[in-house]
Amino acid sequence: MKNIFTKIKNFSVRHAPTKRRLIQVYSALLFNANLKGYISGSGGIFKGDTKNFCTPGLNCYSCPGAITSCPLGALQNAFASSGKSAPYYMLGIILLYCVMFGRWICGWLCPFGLVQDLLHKIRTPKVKKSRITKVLSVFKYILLVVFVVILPLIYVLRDIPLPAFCKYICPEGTFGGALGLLINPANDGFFSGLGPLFTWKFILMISFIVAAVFIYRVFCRFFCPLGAIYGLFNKIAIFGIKLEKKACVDCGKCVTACKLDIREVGDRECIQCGDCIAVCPTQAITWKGSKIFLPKNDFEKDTSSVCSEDATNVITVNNNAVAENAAERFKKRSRITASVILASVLLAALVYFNIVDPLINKDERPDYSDFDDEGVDEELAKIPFGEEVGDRCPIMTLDLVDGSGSISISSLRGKVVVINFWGTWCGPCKAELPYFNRIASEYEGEVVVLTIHTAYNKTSKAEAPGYISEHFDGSKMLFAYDIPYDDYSDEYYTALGGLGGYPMTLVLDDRGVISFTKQNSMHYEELKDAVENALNK
Amino acid sequence: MKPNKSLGFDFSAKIKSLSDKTKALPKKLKNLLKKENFKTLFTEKLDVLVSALIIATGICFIVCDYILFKSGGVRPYSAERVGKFLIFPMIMLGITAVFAFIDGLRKNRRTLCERGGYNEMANDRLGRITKKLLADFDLGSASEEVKSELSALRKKRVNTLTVAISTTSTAFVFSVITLINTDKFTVEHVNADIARAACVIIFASVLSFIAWCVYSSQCFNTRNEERRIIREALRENPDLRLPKAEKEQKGRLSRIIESEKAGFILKALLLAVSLVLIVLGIMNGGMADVLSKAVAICMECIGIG
Repeated sequence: MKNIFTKIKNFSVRHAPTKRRLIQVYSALLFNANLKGYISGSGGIFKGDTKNFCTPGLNCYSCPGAITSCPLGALQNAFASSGKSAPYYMLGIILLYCVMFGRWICGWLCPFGLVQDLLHKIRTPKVKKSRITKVLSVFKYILLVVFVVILPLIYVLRDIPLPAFCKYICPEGTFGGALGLLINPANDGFFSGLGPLFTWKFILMISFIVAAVFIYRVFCRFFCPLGAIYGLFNKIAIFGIKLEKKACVDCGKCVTACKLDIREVGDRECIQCGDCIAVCPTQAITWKGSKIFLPKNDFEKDTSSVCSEDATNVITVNNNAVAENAAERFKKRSRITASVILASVLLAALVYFNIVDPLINKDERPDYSDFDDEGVDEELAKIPFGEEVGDRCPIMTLDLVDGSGSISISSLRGKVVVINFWGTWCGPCKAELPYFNRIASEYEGEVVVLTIHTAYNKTSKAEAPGYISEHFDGSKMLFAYDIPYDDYSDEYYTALGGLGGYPMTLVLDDRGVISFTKQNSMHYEELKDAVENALNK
Repeated sequence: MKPNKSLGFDFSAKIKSLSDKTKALPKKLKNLLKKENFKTLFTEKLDVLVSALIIATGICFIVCDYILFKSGGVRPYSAERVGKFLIFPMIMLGITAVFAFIDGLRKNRRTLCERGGYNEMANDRLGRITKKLLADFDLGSASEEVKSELSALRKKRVNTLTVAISTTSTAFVFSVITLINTDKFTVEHVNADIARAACVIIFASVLSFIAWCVYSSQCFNTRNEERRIIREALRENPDLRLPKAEKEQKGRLSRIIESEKAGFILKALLLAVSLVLIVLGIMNGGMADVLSKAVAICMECIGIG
């Protein structure tokens, strides 16, 4: 038994996490503090004011645990919305992170970096850096320019928000967002939406995961546009690593020891992990900008100078032992204080987002008994209100966008009704609206298409009339507004089973019973089939 | 007397040699088909083969894409139609990439053996060292043999650089033409158009990337060779060494960043700019936009929609 304990002890000593690993785990937990989102609740993602801010690292905001926004996703959306307002906020946030930390974020704070680091620890033969990987590292700049800047800006001209990098490449969105949502049984409705795009992104994600086992930080080195932006500011950043050129003997040990494609310590490829500090024979590599990283030697120097100024007989400049003790005590004290503060912050976040917040914002589904539906026959009255296929569609009165009055689903009974929830901020919603328009024209008299615009977002609500008159002037579709439920959702959308994903489409038969529901984009053929089915019932 | 540093580029002589080469081309091609020459092509002149493949792939891709456009545009987008036209250049691209990769590995392994250990700084440092050696070297007084060897190496490098630049610029122009082809980008076909644009741009980028890989590899080898030649020449005749050139001045921006005071001002300025941008963003509704996006599931971002 003693032998086992000794083995466990030895194992834990050998595999003790480094300071960097602890900080990575800490930041990953802090940025994804809404842990309940993965396992319980009514599905969907976290909705709260903290999402006004961005995490410094890559962390998809559609991930159920995320309590903040992803800077790369938000930057693309900001470019995609640049038709209505300049993307000052996101540029400011990104610039702030760049000037403060540079790529130190990639090495110490990025949750996806942590995943790759852990995968690379699996014992397999590794692909070492070479001139090929060095040239490959330029690829992320191409992705930055094409997918983050050019494509979203081009689609601004077409009035379609398009986060191209997130949509076609980002493996973090698939890993944290899609898989994170799909593991929660409450989100089983999303399985119906999986298509070719998911297949592509899933294959890409698996490829990145497998490659990360063999190649160190494969995504960060060759594909991450966020790292590419941060890297440009590495030399200017306030925190991070620095190389004292005067002390450097140009031995190249730091560059040889580094697993990334750097040319010198602290250049644009350096993720500032600090592994090179230990191998530098002349101690030319140090942390810059903060007393938090104050090396022991510097502290001794500082203490000595202070002591000499005091000029007392008790402590002298030559009293190195006392200075060393003072330095050790100071370091220990600082470490304990910092650990306690950080642990308290994490604990507070976990308690707040998982226990306190759900109590304040109770996840209440609307009480369907409130929906008044008079004048229906007895047989129909027996069908309960609900959000699933076969349920009776809840009734609500909604204001029309053109201001000409209001509309209720009950007034459309006798015709097949297609309900589509959309928003001017939502790219896929706008992309599929022409299909609904076509259905409304082709089945005029038999089918009514009611499109319901989001209302909780006042800015996009105000944009709706302009967009409709520009693109759907003379359309046969009916345009209405939803009713704001709280600051982050709408009442009718929630009543019909909306989890936060737009667009959402329902098809009701002529009695007002739900015959089709989908919380995702639709193609024309799929929509036509759903309408035909409802007509043939 | 000022030493003659030119490598003796004579325009008329170059044209003459070019015409001679053109005349000798059929004979060369005939030779190329011989078995031993094939072997040489795959073992020693792989970089030349890769360069030729890059050009061929690029031309093939452009022709196929042109046919695709002419035969009714990209819509309706289908894997069958795109596959029909683009599969051939794609296969060629794959072969080129494999050859480029093998070429890189082969040279890398040789370098490893030569240097007795891998040093990532090798390429950059080698370039600097060679340039410095060349700057201190009296080329005018060197023997004709050394001159011609150095000239051939430089020519080799310049040729690969020309291929790389022309490939990149063609790829860039082609990408721009695809992107500004506004008629093709419509609301109904967003995925098809994006897929096509991405296909073109990624293809162009990969092609350019391979070209620059080949150039990088060529640089490494030629500089290594240049260094060896110069050192040998200096060993034989130490008088060829010129007085040391003045130390290279650092760039202005580097000096600003590295000087403590200016660096502080620069950082403070950037911080202030970022804060001003954030405040402006909050005022123009940018922050609210971030929230409105982040509280809804972005189906397309996560691959579900």
